[in-house]
Amino acid sequence: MKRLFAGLLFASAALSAQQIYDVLLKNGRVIDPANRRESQVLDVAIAGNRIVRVAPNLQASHAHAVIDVSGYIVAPGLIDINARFASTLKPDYNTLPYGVTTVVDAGSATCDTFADFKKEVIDHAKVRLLAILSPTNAECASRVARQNPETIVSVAAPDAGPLLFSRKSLPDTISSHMDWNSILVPRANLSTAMSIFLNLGMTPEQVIERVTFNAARAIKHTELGTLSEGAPADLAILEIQEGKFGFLDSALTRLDATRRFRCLLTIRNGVIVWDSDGLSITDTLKAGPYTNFK
Amino acid sequence: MMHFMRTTAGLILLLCLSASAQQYDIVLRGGRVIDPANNIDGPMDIAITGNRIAAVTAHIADPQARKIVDVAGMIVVPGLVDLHAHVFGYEGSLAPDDTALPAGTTTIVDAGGSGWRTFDEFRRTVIAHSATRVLALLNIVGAGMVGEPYESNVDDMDPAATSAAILRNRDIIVGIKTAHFAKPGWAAIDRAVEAGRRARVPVMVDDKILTNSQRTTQEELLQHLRPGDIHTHMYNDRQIELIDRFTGKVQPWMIEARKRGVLFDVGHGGGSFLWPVASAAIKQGFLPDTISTDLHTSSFMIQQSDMPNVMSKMLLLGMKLEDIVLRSTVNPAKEISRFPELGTLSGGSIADVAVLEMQNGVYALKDAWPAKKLATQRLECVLTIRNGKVVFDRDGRTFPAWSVTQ
Repeated sequence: MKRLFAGLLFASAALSAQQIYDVLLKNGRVIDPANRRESQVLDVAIAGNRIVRVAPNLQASHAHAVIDVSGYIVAPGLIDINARFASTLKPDYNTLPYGVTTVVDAGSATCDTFADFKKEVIDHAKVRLLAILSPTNAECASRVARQNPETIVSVAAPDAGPLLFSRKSLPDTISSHMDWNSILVPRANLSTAMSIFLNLGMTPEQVIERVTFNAARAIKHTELGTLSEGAPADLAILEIQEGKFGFLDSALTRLDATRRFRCLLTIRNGVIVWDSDGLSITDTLKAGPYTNFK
Repeated sequence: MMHFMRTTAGLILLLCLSASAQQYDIVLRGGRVIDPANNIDGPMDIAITGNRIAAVTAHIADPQARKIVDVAGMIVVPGLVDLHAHVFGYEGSLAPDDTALPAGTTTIVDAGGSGWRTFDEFRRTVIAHSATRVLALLNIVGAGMVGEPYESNVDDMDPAATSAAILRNRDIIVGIKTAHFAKPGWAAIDRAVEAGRRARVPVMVDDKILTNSQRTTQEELLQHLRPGDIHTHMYNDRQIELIDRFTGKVQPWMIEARKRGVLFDVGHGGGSFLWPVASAAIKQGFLPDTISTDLHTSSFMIQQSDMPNVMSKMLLLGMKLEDIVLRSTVNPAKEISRFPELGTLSGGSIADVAVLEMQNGVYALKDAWPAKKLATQRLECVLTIRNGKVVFDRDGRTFPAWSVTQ
């Protein structure tokens, strides 16, 4: 009996020590329109570069790193389908801090310049950087697109347009249209664009749908913009701040606003690439002696 | 006819009046102005005309300004001067404008990205296109900060060519940088100092002291550097040992080096700011001469250590705000002989202005470990004016409001 008890103890210890998740996001408010999750409190578990479980009350002891995200929104990594990284605008630090894990460069490269653009910009980016080629030579463009199926996004044919060019009052997708000339004034990043629509009356769920599920469909990458189990582990942890804010449109007039989206944590391909609030970082009070520092 | 003449005269009179009345383009009203060079710390209005500071005074009346910007509750300081940044050459380089200007930094000094062989390219491809004022420390390595084996290639460290390039580009190059020298001996440091002697500019040193370096920081600061030379990454203990590990005290020879005029720079970066070192040093009164970022891709992404972030860390460690502003504006400008041209809000000077907000909440400030300290206050930039022009405006406060009914 004693031995059995000891065996049981051993078994349970072994079981609880099985850290099958690399990162566990606890108690977030999950907004995942692709799976019709509308602000449900759930845990999200990541193993390697994949989302492996989305469910309530997952075991903290099963994870190497547990991050308490209670009170925050957990969304699929955001998708910005309209940016231009020509000239001096660099991708990573104008996307990842806003929760954007996939960004589409719309037209910086033609089929002639694509190889250079790939070598100099795309291959250095941590953000998933896709491209729409600037239309110059149709034959050349389709050849380059065939050679780079992972990277080049086919422009939706005009008759498939409603997704991108809506006649409804609400846009189907929300994007930043950032370039070197708009990134500072009017601060054209995706957080600004999302915050504008939030203040114009969209719900947080409606806004997030347009920068995840809808955006993924627009660029025909439906494996993105979702927290489905098995999907790439791209996530954005967001909050909605209350206060006095102002946002500019392209005509440089100001919308006085009371709420804004802010991204605290971005996970790209299973790796934490942005953690402004240090949710995953040890406090100096618990970091142990200075000699621990490597 | 009479009526026409009267109207015309009236119009002309009105035009003259409005021209003379609206003498300022922008007035920043009601902020707490901290301008250490002029001993100002208090509520003031600041007027800008064209690209110059026109007035700093207790109150400027409405009709005098074309645009009035309410900055009550905010802190107005001279455009920040970041003595240590990376925007060329180095693999982690950032583009200047989209990281400096949102941080209130209007002048950055690129710390050794270019050498005498690559400076012209730097000027042509980056400096000429930047709204940020970009100055440079020229790397003693002709190829610039392009990693190994170049950075330890003694054959490419030419004091004559380096000083000649500096003298040709005095408008931009303000000093010399030596960094990451991984070979034994003094070649890199001594040649940098030699070039500095020839061109009469300071040298900034980021030394890589290894067990087989056959040189020590103590000798370097006491014997090889000149007064006015700059020791960066001062709170990084891995290489320089600012704090004696056994006593917890600032090394006496560091204090001696400061007495002989060697200057100490934060150069926060990704691996060069440690809470235990900085807090022990600041507690003992060993403050930085200059607060700078060493901002590059990874430090921006992991620590977010731009100027307001590093300044917030100094605040958390007990420094006074006025003193922090002094060491982020006046002191760096002085060290590169650009004071009072830079670092002040004096009437007539170029209108580079940063408006900062002191935020209250809970914030995580991260060091190189990375380990965090929680703070209840931090500084954030809300508005940046560079050369008289609004280049960053977080809340659009300098623009007209839009309403749904329009």
